[in-house]
Amino acid sequence: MQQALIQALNGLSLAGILILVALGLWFIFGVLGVINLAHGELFMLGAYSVVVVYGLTGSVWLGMLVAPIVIGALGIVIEVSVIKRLYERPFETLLATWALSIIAREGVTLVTGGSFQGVPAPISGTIDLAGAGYPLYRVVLLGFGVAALVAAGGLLYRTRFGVRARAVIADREIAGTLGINVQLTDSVIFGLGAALAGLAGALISPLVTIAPSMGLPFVALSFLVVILGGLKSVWGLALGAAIMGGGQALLGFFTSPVIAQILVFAIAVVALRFRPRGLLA
Amino acid sequence: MIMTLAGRHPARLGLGLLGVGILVLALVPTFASSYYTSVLGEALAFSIFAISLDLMWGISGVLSFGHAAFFGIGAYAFGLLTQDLSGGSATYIAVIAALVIPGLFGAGLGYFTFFSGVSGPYFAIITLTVALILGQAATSFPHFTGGLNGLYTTGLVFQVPGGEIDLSDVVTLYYVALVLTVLILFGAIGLVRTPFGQALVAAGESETRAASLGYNTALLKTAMLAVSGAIAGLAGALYAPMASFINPDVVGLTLSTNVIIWVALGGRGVLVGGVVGALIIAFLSSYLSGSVGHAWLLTLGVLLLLVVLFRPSGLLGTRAIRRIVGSA
Repeated sequence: MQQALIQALNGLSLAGILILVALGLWFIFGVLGVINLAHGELFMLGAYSVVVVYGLTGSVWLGMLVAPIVIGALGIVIEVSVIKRLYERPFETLLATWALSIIAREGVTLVTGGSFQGVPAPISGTIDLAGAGYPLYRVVLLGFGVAALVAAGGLLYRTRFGVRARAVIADREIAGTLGINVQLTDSVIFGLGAALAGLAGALISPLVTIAPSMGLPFVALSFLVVILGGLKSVWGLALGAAIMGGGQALLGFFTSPVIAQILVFAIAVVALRFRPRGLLA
Repeated sequence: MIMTLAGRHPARLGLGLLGVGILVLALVPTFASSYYTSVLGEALAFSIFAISLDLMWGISGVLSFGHAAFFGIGAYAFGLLTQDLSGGSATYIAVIAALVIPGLFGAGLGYFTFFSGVSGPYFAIITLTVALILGQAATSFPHFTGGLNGLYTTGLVFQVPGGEIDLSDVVTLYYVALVLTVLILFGAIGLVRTPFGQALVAAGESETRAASLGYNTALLKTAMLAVSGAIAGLAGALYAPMASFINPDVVGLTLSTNVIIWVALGGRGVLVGGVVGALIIAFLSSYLSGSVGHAWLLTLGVLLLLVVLFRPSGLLGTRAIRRIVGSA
């Protein structure tokens, strides 16, 4: 029972991180029509930002604050220098962002010498869970995921920028003729998506081994979250993240993590066979 | 010069250049050391793999981001069966398995994706995840796959009428690879010219248009994925005895994306482009990756970015060369 509760909470905190990563992917895909294969590396660079700031100042919190800002700025640079050039060739952005992902991974490996890094959790307390201690930080993590989802929903549905962004999602050309600065919206959205990936990487940094290749498994799961959730609503993402994160943790209770991952993937592919436009579509 | 010649006799010049290329490759073992022969032999296995990807990506317009899944399944099927079976027919059965199992895997994957209307970027993501998971699975079940230590594929012989082919001999293996590469290249070019291939080219250009002309594009693409998977599996089975052992790298994401770089560089949609790209990069890779390692991988990333930004049609993708080589 205790063990099951812990697994359930692990699943939820994984879902929290997946929501942040998937949300960034979803924004970028929804608005720009670009599948950002470098998303996992933005996530990885977010974690490394914490390592660097922690090394300089000794503060993990400061690192978590700096990471989304730095990675968001990097995202805008990428959008302006690479993505904009491939405007009419959406397929090519897949290759270009994959090239960026290789460059980031190998670049970080060269700079750090490939050594693994770690940072301590900024909250060290535990909460009592039917007699067992559960790290408080993991619970906070889930809170961040939910808060980011609510903030993104608010940004899209309650602000002028959200109206413009949704107009661009609905029809780029018409939005342009209505006087919306489509190019600016693209840059801002790409920066925002990158910042979310950076934040997710920063938040998870105390829980995992930080390595240049850490982004790939997360981004693959997040892509499945986006596919499961569909492109129409933010809430589909939450459902997708809960299924992928929760499913993996719960199945991991019965079988090995790798088999759990294979099963979750199989579930996603079968679901796609019957709901090709996403679960909520 | 090439342009004017191509204008007059494009097909003849293309065949001529191809013939010279094959002749040079055939002479390699006579002047190159056995190390370089084996490196180039591996590059030939990779060029067959590149042809299989180009059949999907360049011809049918569907980018598979996890094509090493097929290559790796072929390699593992071959490795496991040659290990578990004994006797003269084992290698035959292993080769057939290396064709059939990845082919069936392709058909199954096509059923779950193309028949659901999965296309373009979505297909890329699904296949990427397949390669990622298979790579992890190959690492995580060491009692089956040998795990990170690998699975040894040495000392194999292939029984043929009137003798046997020794698969542990570098030069023999090189010629097996060369013959297979030539056969598969011409086979693939022939396949593209059949009504089946032409329907896929049409579907690659505009799926809606091909569908409105009455083609069952999901079925066509699934069939091509099965064929492409079988060819990739054969490339994997050819690679296994060359490398002497196979490890989870053969099924994972890195190889999947490397083959994309070869085809992108060589020029997609021109089947020989993948061969050229694979020969150049795979040869340079084994030459450089030992000495400069991650810096070489970084260079490959930069190269891919430059090709995508400034030369999206690849080295052989110009119109003149397209007319010379004439396929697609």
